[in-house]
Amino acid sequence: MATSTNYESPGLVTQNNSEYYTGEKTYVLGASGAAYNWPTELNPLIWTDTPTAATPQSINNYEVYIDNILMIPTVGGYVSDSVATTLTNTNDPATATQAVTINYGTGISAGSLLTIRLQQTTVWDNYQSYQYNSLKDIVANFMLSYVGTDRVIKRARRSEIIFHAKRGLQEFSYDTLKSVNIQELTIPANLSLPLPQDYVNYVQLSHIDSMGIKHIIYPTTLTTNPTAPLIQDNQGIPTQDDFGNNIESQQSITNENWRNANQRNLTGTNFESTDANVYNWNWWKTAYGQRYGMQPEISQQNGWFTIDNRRGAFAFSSDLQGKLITLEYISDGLAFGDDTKVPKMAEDALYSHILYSITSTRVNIPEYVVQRYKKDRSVKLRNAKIRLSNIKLSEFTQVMRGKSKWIKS
Amino acid sequence: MAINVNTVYTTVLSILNKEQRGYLTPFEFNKIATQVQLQIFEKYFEDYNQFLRMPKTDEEFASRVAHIEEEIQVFEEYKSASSHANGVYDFPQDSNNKNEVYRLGSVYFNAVPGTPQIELVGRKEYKQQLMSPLTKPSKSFPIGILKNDKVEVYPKVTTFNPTRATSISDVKFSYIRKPKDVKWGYTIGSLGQYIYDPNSFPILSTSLLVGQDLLSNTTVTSNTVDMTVISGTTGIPSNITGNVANTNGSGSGAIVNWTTDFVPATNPGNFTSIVVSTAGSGYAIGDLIKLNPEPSSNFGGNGTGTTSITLQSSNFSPVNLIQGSTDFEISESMQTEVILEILKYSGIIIRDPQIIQAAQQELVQDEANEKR
Repeated sequence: MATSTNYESPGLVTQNNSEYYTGEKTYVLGASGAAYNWPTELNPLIWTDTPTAATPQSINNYEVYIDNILMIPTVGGYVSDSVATTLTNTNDPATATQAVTINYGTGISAGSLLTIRLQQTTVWDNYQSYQYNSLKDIVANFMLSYVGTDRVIKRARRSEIIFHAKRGLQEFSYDTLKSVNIQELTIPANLSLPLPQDYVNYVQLSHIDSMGIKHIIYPTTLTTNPTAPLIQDNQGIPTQDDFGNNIESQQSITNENWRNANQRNLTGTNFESTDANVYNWNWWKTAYGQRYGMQPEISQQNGWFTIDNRRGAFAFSSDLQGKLITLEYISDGLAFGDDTKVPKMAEDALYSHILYSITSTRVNIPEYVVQRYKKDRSVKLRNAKIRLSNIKLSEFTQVMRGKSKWIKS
Repeated sequence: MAINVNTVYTTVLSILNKEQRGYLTPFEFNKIATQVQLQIFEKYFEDYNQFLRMPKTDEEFASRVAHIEEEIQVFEEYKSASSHANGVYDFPQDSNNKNEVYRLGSVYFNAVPGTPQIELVGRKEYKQQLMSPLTKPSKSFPIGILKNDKVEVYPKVTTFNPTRATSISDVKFSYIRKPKDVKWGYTIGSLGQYIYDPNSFPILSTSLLVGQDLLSNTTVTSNTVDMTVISGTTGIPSNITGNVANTNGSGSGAIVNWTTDFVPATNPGNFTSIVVSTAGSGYAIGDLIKLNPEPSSNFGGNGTGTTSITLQSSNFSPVNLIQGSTDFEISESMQTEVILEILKYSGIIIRDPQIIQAAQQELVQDEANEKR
């Protein structure tokens, strides 16, 4: 499908096929010092030596090739033996046309093939960009279509709409939008992993076996994580420091014991070479799960985790040490500012949410109007949730076949 | 389409002279006409507000709202700030360096992609927004505080982009300017009679206005004086007189005094004033002038300094104040109302209550028809 710009009726796709798939632009190298404009349809180039102006994603998102040979980046631009490049408008992409100036010396000649190529992660971001709208687009669309004389909201400040849009996105992120945050990690010897920077709640933790199959790690209530492991005197009174604050231990004894516990004593996993205490009559009756009726909650060997609120970290059981895990979690959708992505399938629900939120917090709006918008929001949110659940009939029937149940399709 | 000032003046005179009631001098007419234009102009906004609250129609030529919008659009401007300092941008100015904003519409942040609108808030609300993580000002959603005909913009350009040079075009203002003063200009004929001068006012001389500081022009490029190469105790006079070179026009003879704030052998400085002391002749609006000789030879022979200034109308004085005319800027559809209003005021000047009453009745009738 050709995607060159249709000026009569421009669509939402602004890149042509090669710009979308390769994220690169090729030029014929001119004289040294010539500048090459970067197409505005492509992701803006980012290069900065000023950390304060760096984006969260990357400091540098492009590479320069001359005759398909990568020029080596160093501080200040790309400098190989004979090439130096300078990106103008570096820190404020898309304010004006971006241009890369190429200076070169001997060994490179005019007429060579110059390629400026986005790095792979930036191209990947680009691939899925059509699924989403940015929050600033949502706010702009809402202001245009819902606010003003003769519209449903006669007057509203933009900050009010921003607030409700962001709040809506937070709420949607918790239970409607897809969880797309999955970290792949290895559990270290201290059996704990810090919570991700934009963590709000976990969806699932799984350890990954050698075949790449995931096994769910369950939370446990068998142990706990004290938030204040106090140092006591011999009378049992907590001791204080010079400032009058309680002194706390670096290490909780509860955590220590849990880390040192042999999980097989809990799960009842019995190996020929090891004693799971099943026949050990001296062993006290704390062997969960292996005798006199199995408790599924405990009789599993995937491992356990808890959340240590004192340290802001996941704490894992000792059998998971060194294992590869995936951590799926939800964020509130606002971690990356105004460019926050809103799935198009939830766009209408977000408009309805903003509309309801504004009308319900205003005086002199008839209750029946507020209720109408409330129902509208609820219906659209449900639709968004169904859409984003990604239920496909063919997949559903395939699952049910495995259970010997036929669903007519 | 504007109303021709001569049409209005001659019509008014014809009506007034019908029964030898009196005469309105050009000076009186100009004052009244300006007043009437402002009065009608101000009424546009009240009418606009009123029409927005009334039932509307979108039928072609019948929409009052569309009509008023059409009347107002003549005065709409979209310009960069006139100056800036530390994230505070001054309202745009006219060619006489006067604040040109009559009614401020919206302000836009041109320093970021998409030129988002700057939401204008009070200081209290600004503080409240700052406290809320969800509504903090950002590049996409900037906010501004109005104060003393300036707007303080948040976030500042240097906050999100420390290396970028700020500019007056970082902020764009959309606003309504005031209509120009109406002027029926004339020359005096051989019999001492007034002859209408259809040329546009002001008719400028080709000499520069003495005492004018050219640095206040809107287009001044490069304004530095670098004296770091001068060593020792080279004495630099604080006020230097030099000629002006006209690089793309035919003017000559102008002399300026300039001052700088540089310190010899330390830091580069700026010109602080370039004031015209001798008018010269042959200059025109748009001429690019620069100092001649440039500071390199004046300042001990080692300094460098460049500045070039594009001449604008405020740098010239009018030939005189009576020649040249300015039409009414409001549209021709208001011509009847303009004439009646002028007649009403004329009646006061010539002390004829009948004129006042007749004009007033006509105006009331018009108003009643419009608002029905």
